[in-house]
Amino acid sequence: MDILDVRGLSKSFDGKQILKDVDLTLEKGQVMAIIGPSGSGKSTLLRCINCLERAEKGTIVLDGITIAKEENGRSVYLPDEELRMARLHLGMVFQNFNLFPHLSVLENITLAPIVVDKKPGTNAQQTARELLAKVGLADKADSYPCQLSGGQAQRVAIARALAMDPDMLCFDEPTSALDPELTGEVLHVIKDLASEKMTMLIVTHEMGFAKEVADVVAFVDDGRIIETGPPEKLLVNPEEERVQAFLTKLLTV
Amino acid sequence: MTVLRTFAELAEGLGVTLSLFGLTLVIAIPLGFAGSHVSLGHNRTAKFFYNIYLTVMRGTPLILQVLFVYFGLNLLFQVCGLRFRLDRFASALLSFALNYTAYFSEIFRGGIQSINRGQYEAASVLGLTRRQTMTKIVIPQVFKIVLPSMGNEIINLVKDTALVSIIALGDLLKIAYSASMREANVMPLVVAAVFYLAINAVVTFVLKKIEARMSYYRI
Repeated sequence: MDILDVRGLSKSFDGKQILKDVDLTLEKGQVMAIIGPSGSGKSTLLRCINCLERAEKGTIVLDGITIAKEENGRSVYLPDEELRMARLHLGMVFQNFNLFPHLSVLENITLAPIVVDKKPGTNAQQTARELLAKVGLADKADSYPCQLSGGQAQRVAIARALAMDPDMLCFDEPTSALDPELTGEVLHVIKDLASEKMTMLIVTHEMGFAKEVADVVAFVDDGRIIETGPPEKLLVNPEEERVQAFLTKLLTV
Repeated sequence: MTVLRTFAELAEGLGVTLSLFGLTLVIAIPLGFAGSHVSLGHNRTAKFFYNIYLTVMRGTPLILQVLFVYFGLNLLFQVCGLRFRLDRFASALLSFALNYTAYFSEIFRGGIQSINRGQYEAASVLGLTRRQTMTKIVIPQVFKIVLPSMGNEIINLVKDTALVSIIALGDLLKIAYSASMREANVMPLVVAAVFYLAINAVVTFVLKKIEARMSYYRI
C-alpha cells in the first residue's frame, strides 16, 4: 500500500523553479533515500511533502488523505485545521535539530503529546522515557538541549518526532550539522528504525548509509527526480549519466 | 515636628510615584506585546499608523507628552463641549502608558523576531496550533531574550516618573522640592534621592533574581 503519493509537484521561489513536476511514491515500511547535488531541490521536495512549503502545482496524498489536490492547474490544500491534523501522520527531523531550548529533553518530547494529543502527563512521560531509552539517552531526560552534543540533540529530535506516533518519518540531512565522529550514533538509530519497518524518507549526503539503509534511492537534480532504483543498482551502476557523474565526483574527492 | 510632617508628605509623594510606576507597567506591558504584533503583522494600514505612533512617542520628549495630555487633551475636551476632564494623575498615567507602550512594543518586536524560524517549523510539524506555538514556544523564549532591555526601561521608568512634577502632580520629586523650598533645606531632596535609589535597588534585585532563574537554558 502506498503511504505517500506525490504527483506533478512544482514549486518556485522568486520566479526560479526549484521543483519541476516531481512524482514520488513510497510504500508502507519502505525507506527511501533522496540524494543529489546541493541546490538540486531535495530539501524543498521534503519540505513540500510535510507542508512547510506549499507547492504551486501537484497533488499530495498521505495515508489516503488528499492533503493537496490540483484544481485549474494549481495545488489546493486542505483547510488549515484539517491540514494540521493530517500532518500528524508525518514526523520530521531537521538538519539543525530545532529542539526547544527552554524545555528539558523530556519536556521537548512530551510537549506535543500533551498539548496536541491531550495525553495525560504521566502517560506521555512514560512513553518519552521509553523513546529516550530506545535512542540511548535514558540518562538525559532532565538535561537541556544546550547541554547536549549534536548527535545527542539529533537523537532527542528523533524521539520527539516518534512520540507523536507518526506513520512516516522525514529526515532533512539529519547528519549534515554534526561533527563526523557523531554521525554514527544518529545513523545507528535510523538503522534501528528501518529494521522495525518504519517508513522513512531521508534526504542525505551519506552514500554509504543510503546504500545500507534504503530500499529505494532517488536521485534528484535540477528539480527533477532523474533516476529511482534500489541502492545496489543506482549507487553502483546507474543508468543516467548525471547520476554517474555525481557519484564519480564523490568518489574522487 | 516639621521633620515628621515632611516625612509624612514625602511618603505620600512616594505613594503617587509608586502607583504611577506600577500602573504604567501593568498597562504598557500587555499593550506593548499586543502592539508588537501590529508591527509584525500583515495589515499595512495598521502598520502605517502604528509606525507614526511609535515615531511620535519615541521622537518627542516624554515631558512634552505629559503636558500635551494634561493641557492639550483637556482643552480639546473643552472645545468639543465635553464636560469630561482628565485629572493630573490620569493625565500622567495616560501619557506614561502611551509612551512606554511604544518602547516595550519595540523591545518585544525585536525579541519575537530573534526567535529562529526553525522553532516555528518544529512546532508546526508537531501539530501545535499558532496559539500553542506562541504560548508554549515563542513567548517563554522571548521573555528571556527581552529581560535585560526591559530591565533598563523599567529602571528608566522609575526615574521618569519625576517628570510629572511639570503638571504639579504631588509625586515624590514635587513634594520634596516644595518642602525643600519651604524649609530652605536640601534634606527633603536628599531623602527623595534615597527613595528613588531604594526603589531601583529593589527593582534591580528582582530583575537579577528573575534573570538567574532563567539562566537554566541558553538559546
